[in-house]
Amino acid sequence: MNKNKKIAVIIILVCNAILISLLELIIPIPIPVPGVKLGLANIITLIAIVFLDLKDVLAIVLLRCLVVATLSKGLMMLLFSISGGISSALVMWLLYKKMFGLFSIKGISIAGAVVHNTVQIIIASYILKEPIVFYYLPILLISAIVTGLITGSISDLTIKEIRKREIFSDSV
Amino acid sequence: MKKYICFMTILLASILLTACSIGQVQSYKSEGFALGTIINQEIYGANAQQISEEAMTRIKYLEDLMTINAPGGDVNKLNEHAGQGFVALNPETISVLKTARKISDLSEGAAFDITVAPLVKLWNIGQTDNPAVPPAEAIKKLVPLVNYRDVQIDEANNQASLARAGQMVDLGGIAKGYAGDGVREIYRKNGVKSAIINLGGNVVALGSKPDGSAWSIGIQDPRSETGEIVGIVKVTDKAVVTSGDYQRYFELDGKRYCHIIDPHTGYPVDSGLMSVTIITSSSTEADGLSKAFVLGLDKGLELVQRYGQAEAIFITTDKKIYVTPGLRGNFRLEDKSHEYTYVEER
Amino acid sequence: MNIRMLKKGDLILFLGVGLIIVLLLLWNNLSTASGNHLIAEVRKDGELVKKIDLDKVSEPEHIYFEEGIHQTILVEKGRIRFLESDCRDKICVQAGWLTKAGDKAVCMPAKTIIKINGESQQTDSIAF
Repeated sequence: MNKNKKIAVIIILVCNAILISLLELIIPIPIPVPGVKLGLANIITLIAIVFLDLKDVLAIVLLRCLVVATLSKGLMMLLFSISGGISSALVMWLLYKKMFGLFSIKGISIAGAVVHNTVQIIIASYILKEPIVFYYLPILLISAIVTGLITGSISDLTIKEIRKREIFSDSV
Repeated sequence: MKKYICFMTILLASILLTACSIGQVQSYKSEGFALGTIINQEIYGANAQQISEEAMTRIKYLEDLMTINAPGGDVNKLNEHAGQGFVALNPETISVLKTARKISDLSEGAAFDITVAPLVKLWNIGQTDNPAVPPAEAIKKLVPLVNYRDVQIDEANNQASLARAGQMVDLGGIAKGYAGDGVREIYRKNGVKSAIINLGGNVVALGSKPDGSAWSIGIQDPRSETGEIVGIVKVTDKAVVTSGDYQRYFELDGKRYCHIIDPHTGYPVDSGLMSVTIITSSSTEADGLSKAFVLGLDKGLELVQRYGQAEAIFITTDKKIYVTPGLRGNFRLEDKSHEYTYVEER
Repeated sequence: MNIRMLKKGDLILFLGVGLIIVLLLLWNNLSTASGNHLIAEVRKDGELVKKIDLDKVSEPEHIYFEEGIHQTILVEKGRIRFLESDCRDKICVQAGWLTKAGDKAVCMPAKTIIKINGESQQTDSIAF
């Protein structure tokens, strides 16, 4: 990928991530546990990890968090989005780059979701000065497996399609 | 993959199920109103709700027989015919009168006398907004009417009489106690192994707790406005009944007039005690015996010892707590006010 | 889903997370005070705002938070809940009634938490 194309791809991914995140806010979640959500933006992060460098991935995550927090959740929640987003991106990047032989895209996605939820609930506990980690973590982990599987499957399909059509390659 | 999801689900489900079934035996709790007080029942075992309803029916039946605060009932009938010979009464009433007589005999009427009713009515403590000390003359006139021996019981024909006109019987002193024993009978009859009933402060514990440990009964701090306790007594299959100067009273010119009238003087008891708690098998007897409150610390303890089979906790007005020797291992001071002294040896 | 698409690491991850879930559930079950004497605690910004003995509540009672995100908490005999909240996701209100020891409801945006502590009752009954 040349530089211009790369910037274009990053912008497209950021815009998509923001759109998906905002879209997700409309979808009601029937489980009244803080932190349970689909995490659809994870799809974009995974795509970025597969096709881009780590610093580009982190930039995409940061930009998405900033915009979404400003538009909807408020700045208090920015702390949650950024910490969860960055830590899960780092873990997924590590698993993909260093141990891809061991994990499928779905597995990586689940791992990301698990890290995302765990980090967030730990921060929540710290803010509330109340150890709610143990109380909510089981349901958050189960939710991470389910949502990680969903986003992982979508990412898997998308990544394969992108590869097949060589969308991100310079020749197109 | 499917296999693993299945495996995880089954594993999770089974863990959750076992975790649920580890929980304790559930109790049935009910709250009702009878005998002018709140009745709390806690029953472990099957059909608990039905049994608690049967118990309430029984308590209300006894209340109707023994009340002198509402028209009708056996005791009213007996009082109305005072000095006019025998009246036919319900065998149940006869049985209560007999028990009352037995308890009165223990102190020869010094502590407990069911014919103190005319004086109780005169003082009317806790029943009026404008309490006053009745004229000495009026009291003096009524004291001679108090004599439990004037209650004659003809058990064979289920009848009883009051010897002189103007005499009155009030079973209020043992009604809750008697009802407590009645309820325990109902529990036993229905095969209940573990239950506790609180009739406005009179506690009857059936058996032990479902886990086999003893029941913990709090003893109220006689001077706490909020119902704090001063100690805890551990009991199995016992009644715990307290009489004190704090349940109903009025204060006038800095003096406390409590609702328990000394049958001999006709005045509210002022014996240097704040409360007497009796722990024994029969709740009726515990109720009657707790009137050792009238006698003061020394004579009161003596009465309890003479009766045997009962343990007691005496709390004096100078906030000292005395406990009978047999209770020492089962009583624990739990005094948040830090004003009470537990006197272990006298 | 096809089993062929799963790799060794995925299985290890599954089992690992599953094991953690099971252990956490067990831990929660064992560590929750089993007492049936319910004491509710309302905390905001980590500070204890109110402690309520739920067994002694006779009349329904409201607790209002007027600063920042407006919230109303309703207390009744034996239970407590977030009644209204101006936060975005309303997770706290959706949590519904808290009725037993160990129950919790939190509102992250408002930094409010309600929890019920079960204290094992010191006495089974009181003689008075």
